[in-house]
Amino acid sequence: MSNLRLINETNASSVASVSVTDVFTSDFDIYKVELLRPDLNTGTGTWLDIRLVNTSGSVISSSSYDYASLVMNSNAGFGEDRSTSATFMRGLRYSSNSSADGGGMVIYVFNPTNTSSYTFLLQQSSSFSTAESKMVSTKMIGVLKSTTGIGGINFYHTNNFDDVNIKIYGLRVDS
Amino acid sequence: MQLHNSSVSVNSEYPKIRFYENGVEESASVYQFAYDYRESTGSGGESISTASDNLRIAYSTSNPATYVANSYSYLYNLGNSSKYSFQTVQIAQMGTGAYFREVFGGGVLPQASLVNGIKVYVASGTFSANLKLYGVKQI
Repeated sequence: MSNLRLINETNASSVASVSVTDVFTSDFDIYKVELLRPDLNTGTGTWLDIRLVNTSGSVISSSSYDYASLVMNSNAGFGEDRSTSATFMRGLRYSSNSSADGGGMVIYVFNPTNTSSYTFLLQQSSSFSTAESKMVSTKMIGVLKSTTGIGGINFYHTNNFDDVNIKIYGLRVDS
Repeated sequence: MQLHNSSVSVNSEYPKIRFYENGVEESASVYQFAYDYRESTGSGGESISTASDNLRIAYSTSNPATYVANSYSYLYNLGNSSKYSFQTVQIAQMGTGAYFREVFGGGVLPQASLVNGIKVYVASGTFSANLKLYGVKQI
């Protein structure tokens, strides 16, 4: 049997931001988050980004994130995208309103509810930028530099999501 | 999709994948990818293409029978005829020399089509590997 335990599935449409709350608990130390079929409204060269949600359900948008993302383009040189004291962590590249080219992203979240530890993320994504005629893959490490208990995750974009599907799993450890 | 202990019979060869769209192998140079590789010698680089006829699940090695490759890929939207089909991949293997290489990145078949099969192949020689394909099913 798989050690993945599906905790939540969320579908959203016609929103600029989607939060999945009350999904990280003391039941698991590591969570896997899948963002599937992102269909964004518009915005050439834009990003779908990531924030965390505290256990009270509030999105954390303070300058408390550090991240470093390697941006891998299929048509040109790679780039580094990094920031300290950012208000978000970098997510998936997007730049057209085609419903076909959205791609996918997998995130691992470590220790979200442990109030003795910061919350760390690993992220990997692949998407297609129709407007720029290229595929973009990212590999990101990120941290919320706070011991605040984290209960969920937020995805947002400057324009609306036409559609998105999010699945969150806990990684079960058999003892 | 998991590739475990892959080895090839000829030098500079490696397993790669193509997709089947409604049972028809897509072998044209329509795939795009961007992979980053780093080696234990300190060297590394970028491997990119906007017109490839395959996606990578391993890279070449100079001692093919001994130096195995291991990787896992997430494959997105394959069964969805209205979406492009995407890959993200991570590879750990021995490279073209007696040193370690890691690779990560992604690829895409930028065509909205129903992908119902995957071909794993080498362009020359043969390969051996343990391949596992998992679905993440909601229960």
